[in-house]
Amino acid sequence: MIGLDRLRKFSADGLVGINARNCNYVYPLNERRLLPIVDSKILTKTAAASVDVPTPEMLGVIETTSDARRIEEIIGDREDFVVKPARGAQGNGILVINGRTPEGGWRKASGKPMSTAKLLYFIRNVVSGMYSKNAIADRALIEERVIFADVFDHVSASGVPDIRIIVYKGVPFMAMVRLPTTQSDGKANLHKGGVGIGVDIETGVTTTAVHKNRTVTRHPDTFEELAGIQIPGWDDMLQMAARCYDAVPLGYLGVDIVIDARKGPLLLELNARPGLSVQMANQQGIINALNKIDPSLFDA
Amino acid sequence: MHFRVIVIALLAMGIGLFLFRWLGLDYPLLPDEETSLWRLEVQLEMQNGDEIGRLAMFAPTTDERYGLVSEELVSNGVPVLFQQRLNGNRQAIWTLSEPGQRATVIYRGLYERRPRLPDAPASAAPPSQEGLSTPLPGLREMAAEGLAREMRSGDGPQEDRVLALLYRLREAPDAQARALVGEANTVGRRVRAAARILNLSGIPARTAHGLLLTETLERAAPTAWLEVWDGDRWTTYDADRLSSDIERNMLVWWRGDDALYQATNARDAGIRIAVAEQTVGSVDTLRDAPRGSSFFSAFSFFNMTINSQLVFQLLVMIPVGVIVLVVCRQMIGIPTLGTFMPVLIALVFLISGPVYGMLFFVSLVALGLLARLYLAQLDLMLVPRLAAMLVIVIALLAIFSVVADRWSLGLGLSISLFPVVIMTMTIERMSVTWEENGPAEALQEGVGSLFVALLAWFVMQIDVLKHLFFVFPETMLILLAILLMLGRYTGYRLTEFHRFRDFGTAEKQA
Repeated sequence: MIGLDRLRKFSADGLVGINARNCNYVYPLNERRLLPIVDSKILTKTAAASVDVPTPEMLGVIETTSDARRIEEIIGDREDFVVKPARGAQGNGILVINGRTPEGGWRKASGKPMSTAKLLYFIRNVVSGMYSKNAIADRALIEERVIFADVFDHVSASGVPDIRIIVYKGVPFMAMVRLPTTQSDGKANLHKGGVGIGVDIETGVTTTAVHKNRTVTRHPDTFEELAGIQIPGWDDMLQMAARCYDAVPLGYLGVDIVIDARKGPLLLELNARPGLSVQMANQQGIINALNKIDPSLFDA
Repeated sequence: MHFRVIVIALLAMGIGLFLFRWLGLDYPLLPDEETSLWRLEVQLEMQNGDEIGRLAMFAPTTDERYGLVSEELVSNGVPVLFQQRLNGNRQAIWTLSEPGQRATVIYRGLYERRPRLPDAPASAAPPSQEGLSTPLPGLREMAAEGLAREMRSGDGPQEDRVLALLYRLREAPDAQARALVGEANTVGRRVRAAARILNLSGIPARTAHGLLLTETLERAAPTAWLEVWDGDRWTTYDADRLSSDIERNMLVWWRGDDALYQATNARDAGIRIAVAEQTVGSVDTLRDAPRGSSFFSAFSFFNMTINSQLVFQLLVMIPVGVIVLVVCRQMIGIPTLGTFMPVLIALVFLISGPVYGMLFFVSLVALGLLARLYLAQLDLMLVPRLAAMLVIVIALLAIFSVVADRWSLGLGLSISLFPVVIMTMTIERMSVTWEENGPAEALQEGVGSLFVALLAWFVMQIDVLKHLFFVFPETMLILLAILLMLGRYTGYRLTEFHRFRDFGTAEKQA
């Protein structure tokens, strides 16, 4: 029986399914009252600032649909910026503007033009809650655009590569790099077609990788080798992830970090229910990974 | 620990009460074979002449065999009134005021068969001759008079003489009988002739028209029986089988020689009569069930009216469908639209059948998505756009209802159950999923929902389960315990075996 063999292998490696993740980690370790901080990118920024964790600079917030016109005033004469729904999930509703067009419109990260009217319409949709849970009213966050460091440039051509570190009771214990593909439309979410690469938690060197739930060794677009990339400033990143737990004490926390070419690692967002595909990327189960940590490290 | 105590307590309570009701109070574990609710639908089309037209149709009477649960008249704005007539008949009368007006009128009635057939009510007073039968046309009246003379001179018990007369009319061996029943020799004609002959010979008799409710029929036609006064009560004779057994399934529609409907100054363009068995498992059982202690009978659905019982029969099956849904989502991992959408779809399947239900759901979602696609191009704000979608969904439902009403029985009810707001949000969610994660994922969720709905429907329509959950409401405690246990299921989902299939296959290079 294939099923029984797999079941044995999964449990031997400490693989955690979605039911067990929720029931054994998310529900008992993550207090509900803290979830609004994680759900709102604006609150996350404030919390991160309190423990000296840097985030992309916030240019302004648009609170109401009639406010949308303030966008011109917020961005001033900048060429590039990002619009995000404060309560968006899974990278939905994020608009990246790279520059202006000669006609007075905007150019999206994908290269396609966007008129100012369309931009205002997009912002109004964000504010009405199109991308937030249960369609409740939201706020639109205007941020500086992150200029990605060239760490992954030779592997992955475009989009937003990020690093996710899973923190258990304040101890970072598992991590992966998420690379966008042409299929994932510049987004790094694995279920949209991004590539997940496991990271050795001690050294910050990439190991095994997964794409669409299958193990791969090369990037599907560039065919570059995915293993053996050293992430620069790895210790700082681990420190950053651990400090996030001080700001938002969720016992089971996902920390998403991007590396800006000028400012170094920046906290992108926090996630209260991470950790299924990170097991695939690392080819290691959560339970086994946790067993390797010295239990005295955990916050009681 | 705490959790286990709760689960065990719920299980013990549920099973204990169930066993007590079953073994201690003798509530039946299995449903009765017989169903006792019938739906009758008559659809009449007519066209008005130049003056005010009038259409009169008999509505079934209630008697010792059947009771009326509910009835409704659909007449597209044509005024209608009920009139009590001779012989206990009731007539619905529609009036058409505009020349050339065309109208479709529908009569719907829900009839409940009485649990036990009481003896036909005895009445001391003999009925008046008036309104029993009307003279037959032309020569047939003379033939009837001839037979009536023979009837008067005959002797023997009245029942034998009536059966002999019916036999003679059925076989029509002589010219006199042939003249009465004609070439076709239909039951209706035979009964009418017999009633007339008996009347002429001084015995009160009349025609009863109605339906034998034994099976669901899309097109039914009323049949006729002979009723003869035997001194203190009416006895019913079947003119075809030549017996005086009272048919338990006989729904009397109207009595007398009139046709089912009369159109004055209007042309009828067709009539359709349908009868449908309403499968309600155990209403009979409920009625006859022992009433044990007052506490227990209070905690059953027995004491409610039939209509509330029907609602609750549906309601108690929802937890069963929900369990199927939870198993599909938590243990198998099938993606669905919204949380409870599949159970709602299963409810529609339960009422209108899986084929119509599926057609209904798929076309509603498809049309809704098209409308949503169009609205997205108008650059509307979110809340007004959702509101517009809500209106469109209601309009689609209205159109479906009208279409369904014309072509099939009963879909109307299921549509009214369908929560419009949830439907709207489902379409919105599906279209956002479509835009953000691609059509594959949106379709996957749609197909997943339909699959779970079919599965839930299949379990929810099992008669034994319907009966069990209705007669033993304490089974809901058991379902609750199962749901709590499912809530603590931390094993892998079936789909995760596929998702994680490559787990542990790659060699670490570091």
